[in-house]
Amino acid sequence: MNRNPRLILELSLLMFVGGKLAIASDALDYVKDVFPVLQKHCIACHTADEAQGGLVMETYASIMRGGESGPALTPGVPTSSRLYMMASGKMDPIMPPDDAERPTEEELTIISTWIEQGAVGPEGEVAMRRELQTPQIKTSSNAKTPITSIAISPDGSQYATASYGDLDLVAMESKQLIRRFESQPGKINSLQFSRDGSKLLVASGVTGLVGIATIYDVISGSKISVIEGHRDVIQNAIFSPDEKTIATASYDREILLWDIETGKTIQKFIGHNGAIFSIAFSPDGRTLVSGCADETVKVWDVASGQRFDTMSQPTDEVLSVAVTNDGSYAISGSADNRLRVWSLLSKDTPRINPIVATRFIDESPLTHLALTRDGSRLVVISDAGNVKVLRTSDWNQIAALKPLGETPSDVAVSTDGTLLLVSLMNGQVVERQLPKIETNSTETKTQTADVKPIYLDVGPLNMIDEAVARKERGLTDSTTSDHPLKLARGSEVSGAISTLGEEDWFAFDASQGEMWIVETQTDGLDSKLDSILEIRDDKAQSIIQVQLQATRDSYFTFRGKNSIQTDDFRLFAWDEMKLNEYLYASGEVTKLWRYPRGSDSGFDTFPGRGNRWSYFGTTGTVHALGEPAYVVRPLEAGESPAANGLPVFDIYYKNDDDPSQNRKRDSYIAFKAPESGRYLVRLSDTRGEGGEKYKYRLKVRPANPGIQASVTEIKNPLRRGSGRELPVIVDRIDGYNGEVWFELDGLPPGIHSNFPVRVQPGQSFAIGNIWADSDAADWGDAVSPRVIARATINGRIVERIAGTAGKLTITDRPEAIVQIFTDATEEKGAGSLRVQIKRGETISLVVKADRKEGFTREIPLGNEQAGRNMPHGVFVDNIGLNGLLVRENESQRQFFVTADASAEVGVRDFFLTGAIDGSVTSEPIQLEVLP
Amino acid sequence: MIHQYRFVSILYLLAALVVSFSGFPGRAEEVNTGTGNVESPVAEQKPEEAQDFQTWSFRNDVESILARQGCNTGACHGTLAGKGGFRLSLRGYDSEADFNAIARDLRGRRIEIADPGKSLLLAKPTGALPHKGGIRFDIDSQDYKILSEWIAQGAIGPQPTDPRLTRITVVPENVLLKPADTSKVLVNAHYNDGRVVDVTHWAKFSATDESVASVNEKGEVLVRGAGEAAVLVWFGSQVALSRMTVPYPYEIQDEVYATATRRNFIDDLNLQQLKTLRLRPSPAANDETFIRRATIDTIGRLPSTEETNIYVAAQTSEKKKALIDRLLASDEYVDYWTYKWSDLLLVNGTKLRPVAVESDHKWIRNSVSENKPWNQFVTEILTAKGDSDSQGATNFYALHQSPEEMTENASQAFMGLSIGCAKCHNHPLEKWTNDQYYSMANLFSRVRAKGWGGEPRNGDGVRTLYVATDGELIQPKSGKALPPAPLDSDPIAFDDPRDRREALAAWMTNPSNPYFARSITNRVWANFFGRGLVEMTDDLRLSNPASNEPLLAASAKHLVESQFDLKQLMRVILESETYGRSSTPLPENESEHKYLSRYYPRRLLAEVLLDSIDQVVQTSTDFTRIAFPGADFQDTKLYPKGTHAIQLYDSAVESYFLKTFGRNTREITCECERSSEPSMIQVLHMSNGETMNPKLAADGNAISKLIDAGMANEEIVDHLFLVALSRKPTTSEKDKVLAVMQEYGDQRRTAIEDAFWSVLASTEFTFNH
Repeated sequence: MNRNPRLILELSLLMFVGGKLAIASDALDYVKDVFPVLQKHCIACHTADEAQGGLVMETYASIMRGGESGPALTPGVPTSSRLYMMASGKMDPIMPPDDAERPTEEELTIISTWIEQGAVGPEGEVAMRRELQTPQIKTSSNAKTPITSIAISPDGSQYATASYGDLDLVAMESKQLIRRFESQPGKINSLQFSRDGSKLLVASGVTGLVGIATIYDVISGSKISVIEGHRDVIQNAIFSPDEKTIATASYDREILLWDIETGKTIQKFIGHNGAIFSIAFSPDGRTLVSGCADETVKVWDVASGQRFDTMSQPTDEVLSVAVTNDGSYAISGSADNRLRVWSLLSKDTPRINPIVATRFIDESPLTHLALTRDGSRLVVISDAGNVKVLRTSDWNQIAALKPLGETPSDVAVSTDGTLLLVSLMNGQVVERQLPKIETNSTETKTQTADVKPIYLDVGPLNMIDEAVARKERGLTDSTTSDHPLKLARGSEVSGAISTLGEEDWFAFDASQGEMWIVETQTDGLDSKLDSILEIRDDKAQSIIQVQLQATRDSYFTFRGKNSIQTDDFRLFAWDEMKLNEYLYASGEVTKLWRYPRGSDSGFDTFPGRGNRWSYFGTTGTVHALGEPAYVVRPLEAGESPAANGLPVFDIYYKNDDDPSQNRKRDSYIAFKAPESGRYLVRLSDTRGEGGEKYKYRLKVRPANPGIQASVTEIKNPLRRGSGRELPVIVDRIDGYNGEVWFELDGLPPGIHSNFPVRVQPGQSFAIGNIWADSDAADWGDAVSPRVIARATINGRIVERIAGTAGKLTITDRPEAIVQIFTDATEEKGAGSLRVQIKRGETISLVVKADRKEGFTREIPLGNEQAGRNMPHGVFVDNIGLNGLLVRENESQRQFFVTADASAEVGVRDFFLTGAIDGSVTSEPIQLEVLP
Repeated sequence: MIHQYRFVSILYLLAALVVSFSGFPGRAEEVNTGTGNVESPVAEQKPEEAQDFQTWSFRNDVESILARQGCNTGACHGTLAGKGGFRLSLRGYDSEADFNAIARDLRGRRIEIADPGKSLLLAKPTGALPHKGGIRFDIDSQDYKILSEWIAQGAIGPQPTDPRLTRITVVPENVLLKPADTSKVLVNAHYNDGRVVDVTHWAKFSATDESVASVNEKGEVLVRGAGEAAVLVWFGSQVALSRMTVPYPYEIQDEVYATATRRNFIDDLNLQQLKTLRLRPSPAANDETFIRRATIDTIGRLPSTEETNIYVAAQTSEKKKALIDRLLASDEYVDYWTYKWSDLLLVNGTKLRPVAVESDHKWIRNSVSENKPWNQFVTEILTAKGDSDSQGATNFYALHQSPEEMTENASQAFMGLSIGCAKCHNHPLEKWTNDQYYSMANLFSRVRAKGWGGEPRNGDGVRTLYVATDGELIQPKSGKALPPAPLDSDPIAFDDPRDRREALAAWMTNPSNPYFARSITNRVWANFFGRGLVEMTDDLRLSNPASNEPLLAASAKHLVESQFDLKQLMRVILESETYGRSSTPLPENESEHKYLSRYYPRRLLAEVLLDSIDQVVQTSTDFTRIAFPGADFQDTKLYPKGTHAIQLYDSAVESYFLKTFGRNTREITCECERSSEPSMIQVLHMSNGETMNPKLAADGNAISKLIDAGMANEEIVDHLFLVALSRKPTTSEKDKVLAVMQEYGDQRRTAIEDAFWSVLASTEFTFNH
């Protein structure tokens, strides 16, 4: 073997030869002679954490306790000692098992001799070793040793840095070394100054052996106290806010709380399933938050050691945690590149801490977090060496500082919040100025992008036969992008995709801001065409309608989706998604309408009934199990995408099937001309088919926003003391997205309704209610009140007859009358009842059933849609698998209503509907959503 | 094409051995560059002083040790979750990540630059600290020295300038050995800076056939038996084979091979291999055996008594050719091969709705019926679009709905390549990388569908498949799309609006694609010989060599030259003497099972067996329900009375018999789903089950007809043997059967039924031989 003369490999002979020497004469020493052999061959599989065969071999005492098969050894008699017999291969199972390296003869002799001599060992459960005997290998002079930790003194005049065995105090201004502390060798994983700057807390240890936390007196450099106890290095040690205790988190999966005065453990926090990398106290010191390799953040009650919550949203190791200065939020940075923020509620009792923000910060793991003292900003450091600054008011990024260019090991922020220091694995410390939050830094929208929409009226459409027009203009076989068929402004073309793969091209002129509709219609043509339309610019280039920035990645779980269903969108990490967020998958953009009822159900997408809507002119497609899906946000014009490691999707003016999916295979594009000029329309068959039967009508017409309205008539007679549902539906035309009011005329006496009923902006339906007094008189012949829809569209009031409420008659009371009350003691509810709910809040109500004599069976009140006519984003919550129901023979039931943060502020009627007597409703009550 | 074996002398091997021991990977001791030729890969030791100031490379040195020591295997730190918090990429495909895990994560927990010996990376595997993975090396080993020096030098990570491994070569590439011989495989790594380094010490070795030759971790080979085998060598994500040929110990005159009948290239290449291996070819099977064998293998049924009689009686030299022509032109050919390709394409009524099952099957059937060339067949599947009820081929994309599944199944079905491993990491046994996988999958990223979503029990099943002009598949590791490219071909521009699948189909079906023609050739081969030249037929990776590589190459070439007309390939197989050999082993070939010295008997396919029973007994089986998982059934009216099992559209049609006899369940793209394993249930079902007995007892079946026709027992036995076994009974067989039948007295029908039963339950009936 060729030795490199610059590197000296000194073999520690002690471990191997010492035993041999000892055998000849003296009694063997357990620690010196025996333990190294056990350590080498046995202990890895016989630890307290994972005791194979129930045998723990980490300490002498535990070996003597034996395992599931009884004693491991019989002092004095090696041949009746399982330990020796198995290790020497004389007894099955042979140890160490499988093809592991066998102990040498010398090592076996050590074991047998030691047993023969009586197997003597040390008393008690002392920590076995703090030293690791390994060859001494000289480090090359030009090797860079890392700085592993850094802290700035509270007054900002000094900072401390740590590298292997060296702990230095450095002057901030001059960068001169002030003091080098005497420190034992080992990796220093964290540094923290006490609040007055007089003490320095150092987390360290010997990797794989022991964890050590040391408190130094900063002035004198002496050790105030040394704490030992963990079975591996301490990753993080922190003072409690009162600085009477310290908490330590170790690679050994434990968190310990120590009394500084006595050096004793006063609390253990057990429950993590992996190395614990980071801990943080709440400002009042009552709560401890920890981040772990087991991909969770846990919240602990310091006094009792009890775990109050486990936040399991992270999908990779949690490397760093923090608690905001006001104690309101727990924050984590994890190896899944995401920052998560939870509202920290579990302070006094076990409670779920709701997640309030998830941010994709960088394309690499988020290794360190630091809050400024004033609490306004959060510094996030990534493994790739990127430094991002977020504001804590909304957790949005305000700055990306100059990248570090090296793997960071720690970060410290100065007390005044102007500066941060980052220690690096190449042994350097870099400094960055920390930007302030600009007061008026709210997003400035680019003015140019907001082109005002122009609505046109060009009179009757020009009717054109494509084949005829083509011939007239000397275009022979088919049109092309170079030779499109020019259309007058406002045209309807009859044509066909007559050959396989044919494309028909048209051109029309539009001025900036004009709103045009380009659509195909095949109804009545007996056509086989499955049209696809695209609008291109004059040079036949696709036009970007909008860019969608992905802000969260996910995928479909459980099963695939067909191209029209609105329900059961089961998505990975669904609990981090919010209502009204856009979801992109395979070119289709949908919008989340209703939350899943739990992990065993999925989102409903807009419009929450009928066929699924897609947005930005995209087309409904099927979604496969496992298919990637992204929550996306449309970028403002001129806004550049954030580098968050997630894709940006360009959405073009292109459509296959009408986004409302009401017209089967016809296509529909709402086009806002970005500039004045000529535009091209390309029309073909989606599948590339063609032939005589592939006929179409193509309209290029001005947009004419409007509505169509309908109502689902009441079929069953009204029943005294209860109501019937009267759902109203809006079909939105050419992009009208505003509110629509439905009115009802001509109710008989004794009959009430919740009309006018409002369909909220962007929604497609509402549920009316017609309700009969308990003493309402019969009015003889059926009456049919009219339902009329009204909306204000582009300054005009648009009125449409929706239909009638049906032929209304009245009969006796139902089997049960259900009514809503604010609590169980109330005598009279409904009518004037108004309840209030804040956004983000859950309230409880009671439904009571006044049963008819002899009517005992259960009264189902519906599942996730139990609250009827509720505002969008308000829902009946916490319903079980059977939904909301008044049980058999029972007369009341408590239920919960939750308002999402997105719910519209205002008053609205809602009611419940029982599945009895052809569905009867309660009387509506008023629900006021407060901000 | 003649395969030349290179004979490497033992002396040369010894010479190579001497120089192999002091090498480190990446070290300056270079093997003669340039040729890579077996004749001159002599390692040249550089002078001592050149080895000073050696700086170790993480990528090329440290990673090699981690791989060699097994640290990054799937059982240890290479598993996705890592072990003990320490995670490495499987076999070191991701040097950046591995470097981070070792030298950066948790402030470099696993190394200590200031005191290298204290590094966990060294303390654990040497036993200084408890290590579950045991002791991997000693402190005085080369590997310890390299790792400790790398740490002491500052633990420098992978550099962009690191030399990159381009390929590995082995010595010997081919060698002729005798049983009990030992040998050693040497491995040279070729880097892109022109260096060639002996990396034998860091390579991983495995044997492809332990019964022929085994290999230890040092690359030392022990020959255990006769045959052909290879040692698979792995180093740095590259693989190479060292092939070993070990002749059998039989004394066979060369004349045997020289005078053996040869019909075509198959016989030439087969005899050449038999000669090398000293195996005696069995003589030709007799006419009765051959017509039964060829009929079953080609069209999935028994020959009729007339067909057998005519063939056996014919005296012309052209009768075999006429038989083959008739078989290849028959309607049953269409049924049989439609069924085979439906297996491959997973036509399955628990995954597709009935309308789609029907159209998919119809499309396959039409393709077989018109003898569509295989390249066109595959191209039509890959580029399919339109509505699932009219465009049957689109159902490939209803069965495989994500780009990843499309990629994996297309590779598996049409190239015999299992590339699924590369979805998460570089393929551990092949050259395919994680990026290549995602480039390939991105070819399918614009495949879209609308309509039916995949709910197997509900919905109309009509699904429109189309191709969008935008959309990319994101490589999850980088969050960005990779340029779409067929595995090892050039990428297509992102903004190319054409259907990317066309480029894929062109690449895949190109005659120069080394996988495509071989894969289908091997599948056809397996149909006729009961085993592929490569086994399993779905596993054509480099590390799984063919039992006769020249024969597979020549057969694939023949298929390409026939414009992928599968019937042409079948014809040369059927005409060959190799196929026509007797299945009776000779003393000088009975120990071999893959070199085609004889025909290997095998049990009839489940469907063929069921149809054959019906054919003999003149009964039929009803197929009325689709069986979903969990005792859930839906009725089907697709199959009129008299439908043969081989004519079923899909594998979900309820049939206890077919299930018991291991039909292909068509859950995953793998011929391995079809089971030919014998089981006690099969035996019990044949003897006592609800298939055979009701058929034997049925009114109006063959037995009724024979009785009604007034046939004597003797005639009945003759007929039975002829229809079921395509031969007449021997005198002793006949005497025995008649004697037993006599004992039934006036229970004549029972006697005949039992005679039928005995023949149908016999191995001779249930096997093709």
